[in-house]
Amino acid sequence: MTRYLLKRVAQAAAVLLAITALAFALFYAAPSDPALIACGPRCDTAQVEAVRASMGLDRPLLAQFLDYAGGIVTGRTIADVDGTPIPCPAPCLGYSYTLHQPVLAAIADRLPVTVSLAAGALTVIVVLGVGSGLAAALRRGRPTDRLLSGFSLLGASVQIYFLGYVLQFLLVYTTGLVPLPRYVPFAAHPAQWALGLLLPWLVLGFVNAAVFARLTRSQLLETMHHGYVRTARAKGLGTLRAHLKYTARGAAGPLVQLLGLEVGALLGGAFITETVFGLGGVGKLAVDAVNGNDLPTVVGTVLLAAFFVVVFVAVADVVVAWLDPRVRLA
Amino acid sequence: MPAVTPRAAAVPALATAAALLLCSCSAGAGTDPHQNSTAAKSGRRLTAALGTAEDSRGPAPKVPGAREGGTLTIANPVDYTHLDPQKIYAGEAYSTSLLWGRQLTQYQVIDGRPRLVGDLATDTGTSSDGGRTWTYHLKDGIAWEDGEPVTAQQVKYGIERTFAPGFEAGPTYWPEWLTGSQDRTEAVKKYGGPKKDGDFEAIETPDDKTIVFHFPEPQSDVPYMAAQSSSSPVRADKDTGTGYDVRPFATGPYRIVEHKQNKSLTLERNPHWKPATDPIRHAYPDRFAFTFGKAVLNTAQEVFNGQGSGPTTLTTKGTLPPELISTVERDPVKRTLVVSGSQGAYTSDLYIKNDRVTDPEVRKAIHYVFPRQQARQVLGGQYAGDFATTLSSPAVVGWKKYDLYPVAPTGDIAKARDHLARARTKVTKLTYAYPVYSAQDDQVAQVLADAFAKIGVELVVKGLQPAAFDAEVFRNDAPYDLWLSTNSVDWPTPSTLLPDSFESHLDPLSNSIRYANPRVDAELARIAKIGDARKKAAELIGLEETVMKDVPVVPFLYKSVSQFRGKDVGGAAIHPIYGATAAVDLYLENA
Amino acid sequence: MAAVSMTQVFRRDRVGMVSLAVVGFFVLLAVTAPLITALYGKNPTEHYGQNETGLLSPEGLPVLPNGGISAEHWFGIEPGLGRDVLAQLLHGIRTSLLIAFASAAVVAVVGVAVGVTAGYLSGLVDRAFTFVCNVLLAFPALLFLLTLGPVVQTRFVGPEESEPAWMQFTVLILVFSAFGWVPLAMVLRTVVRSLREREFVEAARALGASRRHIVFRELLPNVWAPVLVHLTLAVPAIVTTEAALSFLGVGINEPLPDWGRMISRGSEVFYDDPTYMVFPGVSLLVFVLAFNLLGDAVRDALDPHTVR
Repeated sequence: MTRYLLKRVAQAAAVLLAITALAFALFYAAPSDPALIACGPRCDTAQVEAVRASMGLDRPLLAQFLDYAGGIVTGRTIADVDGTPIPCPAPCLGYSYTLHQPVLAAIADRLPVTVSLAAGALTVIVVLGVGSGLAAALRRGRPTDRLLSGFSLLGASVQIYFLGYVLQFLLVYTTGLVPLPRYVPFAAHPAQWALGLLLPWLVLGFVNAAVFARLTRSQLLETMHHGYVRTARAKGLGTLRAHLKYTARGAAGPLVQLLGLEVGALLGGAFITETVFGLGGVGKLAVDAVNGNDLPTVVGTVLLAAFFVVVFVAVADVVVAWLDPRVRLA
Repeated sequence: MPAVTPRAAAVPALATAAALLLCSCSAGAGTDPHQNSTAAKSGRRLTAALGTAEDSRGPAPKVPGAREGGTLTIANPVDYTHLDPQKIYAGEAYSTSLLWGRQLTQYQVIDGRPRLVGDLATDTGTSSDGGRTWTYHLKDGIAWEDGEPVTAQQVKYGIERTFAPGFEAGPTYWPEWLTGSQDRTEAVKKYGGPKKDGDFEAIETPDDKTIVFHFPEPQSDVPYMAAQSSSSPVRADKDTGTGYDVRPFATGPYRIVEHKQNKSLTLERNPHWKPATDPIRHAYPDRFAFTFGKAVLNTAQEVFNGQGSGPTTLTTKGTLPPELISTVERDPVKRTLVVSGSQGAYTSDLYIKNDRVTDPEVRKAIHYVFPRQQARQVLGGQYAGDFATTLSSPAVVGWKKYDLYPVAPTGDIAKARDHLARARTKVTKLTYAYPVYSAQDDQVAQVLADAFAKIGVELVVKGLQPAAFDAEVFRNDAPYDLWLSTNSVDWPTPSTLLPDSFESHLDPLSNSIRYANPRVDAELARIAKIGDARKKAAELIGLEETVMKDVPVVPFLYKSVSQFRGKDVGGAAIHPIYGATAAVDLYLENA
Repeated sequence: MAAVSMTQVFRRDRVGMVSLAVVGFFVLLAVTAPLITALYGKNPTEHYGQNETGLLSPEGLPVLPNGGISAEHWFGIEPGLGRDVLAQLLHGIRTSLLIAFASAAVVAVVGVAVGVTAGYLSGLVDRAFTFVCNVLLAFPALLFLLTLGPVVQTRFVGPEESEPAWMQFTVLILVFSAFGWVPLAMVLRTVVRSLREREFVEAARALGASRRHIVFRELLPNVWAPVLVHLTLAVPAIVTTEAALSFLGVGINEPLPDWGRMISRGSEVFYDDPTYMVFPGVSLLVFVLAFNLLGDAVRDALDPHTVR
């Protein structure tokens, strides 16, 4: 198990390094000039050059990348537009000249919104997705199954930027059943926190639960037909106990892997959900950064999103390996 | 294997879709012409009244019905580009920054009428030597947020900063006037700011309370310039460079407690601000909580429906979305929540880059083809403002109406074709650049492209990122022929309009259309030497028609502004000069 | 032989047949859109509401109820510019389908080539392949797409030129393909890995067949089933991603009709004119639903052993 763990961590680190390089190269090769924007239109060529030099943009791309990658590990000092040194402790994701703050600080400001959104949505996904998948599998072919499968199909096909507005219109403005989505810090007021995020949770959860429902159902049906479950039943174990003891464990692997990917993706920022409901999380930060030509923040949010995906996929793999020894020997 | 697969359950899914279709019945805007429209008449005439020393004493006259206390939320779609007082150069930021910043002079607003009075200074300034020397005395008892007194040297230091590199964004009048230069680029060669060139002898501070400005040429508008955010004091020991742009040190009734860029800004009372020294500002709420980044439409829904923090929320930057106008007009309660007024002396024009579109006949064709009504409809109709025929707004002192080339609001295709045919070289393609803030900007571009196609001109439309727009378009060699822009005089007299945008030697940020007419240049040089404010204003208004005969820009709208406030917010009115809801008069009714 | 049984199974699947019909209908609409709009007498770019009086209020909202639905404009008119919704919707299908089908084609070619190669060669190539896949899977694709559009525009299009339609399409197709081939290639790699140990490949190898022969003659013919399933499900995914991009403001530019932009505009006028959002929203929903159902049906038909 330890060997497998080490191998998995090394893999994840390598993937992250590659993504850092890729993101950095792609975005810093972009023609839009951050120095020109930072300096303003009144700047003449010499002034822009000076700003570019103080921002370190005149150095070779490789040197800039090594600085950047090094900064993530050890922290570094960044020069502001006017040359003022700004300390950026590890893990330094660069400094945003648009926001006048380290990218990590900007992300940290907005992460609570994204984490809250992800936590609630995940609960909905697991309860709704796995629950309805389980129910559908147990009632295979009956009306319950058909209804649940139909809804999961609808969830898989409907778009957040359509469903979100429709529900907001029906549930918030027309009937007032649900309060208008907004973010209140959990520590400040737990009930308001939950109420304010209720609609985004439901929408994000419903749309993503579909995949889980379908996977749960098909996994369960597959394992139920396996010999060992039949044997267990033949031996006189009750249907439900047989399911729980053997089926669930056998079906869990792919679900855990999908869940890992989902957690990672949600923490990286729900761009569309945050846009639809006007929530200021990491996704909104990223979209704003793209629109505002704020390259350091774009690269920072890309890395963060990739980081979460890589980490949680790795965690899921380890869990699966723990559940199923065959995996770690492969 | 069951005969019917669960996929047959797509039926309920489709039923849901059908139900959604049914829920979509909407009322339609109807043909009601909105007789009692809440849209304000734009271009309300301003006065340039200068208050006396008596008027400059505090405290500010109480807002009727105002109460103290509570937290007021200001929900703006975007954060401030600048908070550094010497970098701020926008009406709304001028208005809102009064909450924490004070200037030499400022506009006192009573019943919607502005009057310039002394703010830090005891009066609006005294001039001598034919307008070449201006003297200000600071009031007693004015302090920073840490209790230290505000001194004349700190006001001087603040103004010196406007010369420094990195301060290109702010107004350029101090550098130009104090060095007698044509533009800022020339001025900063003579003095480069306090960090580079140290003390600046054109500003004298004989004692802690007196500041004297020495100008090479006579200047008549110094009292107005003294009201600009650039004329705020800065303390050298608190000058954190670019950091000062995030969190400036306060002299006004509130201090900045926290500023999370693009997210929030929190203000609390400044214990060292004394109402008795301040004839302009009130400080009714205990706290101001600014939030940034929420779409205006979401904020508007919250405010109009009174949900969440809606009742105590207002916006100073967002405007009433055109999509909500009908809904609001139909509801008498919601209508009262609209805050509208003339947007200062702002006019919106279609700018033409004169050194690219050199032929006046082509510019006249553009004037005639411009579909004003269609473009305004996309922007909110009447709410956007009234159609303009002049360069300056009716709000400007001494304004005269003229209409050199009358045209129907929908444009005149036939006349446009005529003028185009008379052009020396055939024009088949023009470029139009615009910053994409919202879908409306794309729509205006489509409206223009549609109209230009009718006269056989392909209009290439280029949506640019707002952050990059200025840098892309206001360059000498920028390849754009047309763009829509809002311009305004910086204060109620016309002296900042022609001299700062239509003089041929100005840099491309000031004279962005590259207008060059030697006769106009000569006239401007002559008028610049006039020391008498009234005579100067009359001459400039007279020159305006000469300029507009060349069709350097196409007048579009005298701008109106409509914002909104929560039902518990009192004292909300559009600032007559700055064109946004004035923050210093606000209070909470249920506080 | 396999093909015959598949068609038979598919024919017996009623939902599959219906969804195929719906998908076919959409394709037909896309192909004949110019013809239909010509008969209907409207075009998707004309600003009817602005150039004719009585259609839009001074603030730009349809005067008639239900988004201005009338005998003239069957689905109403667009708030603001006053374009015909039906004409826009029909031409919008063209935009979506062109991008989706072209991207799916590129995905198929790249996915098959890379997946089969990696599965067959294994060893170092296979490791490199896994690594690249991991990197691409963890890369936030949507954010990347958001950033890339403006970059391409400034780099390859002169400031005086509009970005030509073909270039906008090409960029989107390339970007969708850049991420889209990964899952397909991963599936194929697994399929090929199991196949190469089977008897018929072993036999070919024993007979001295070249690698080329084995790959093209023995392995490729056996991977078309997963490819077909994957592509049927990839098309709706691409259509929705493209709409999402337009919703966020970086898809196809005006004035090319586009569903995502219509939904985005619809979300702004939703509270006063919900009808405008419902047409593109429901069309997209029905289209994606039909395609997903079709994908399921294809999978069932190809692999009758799946437990259902």
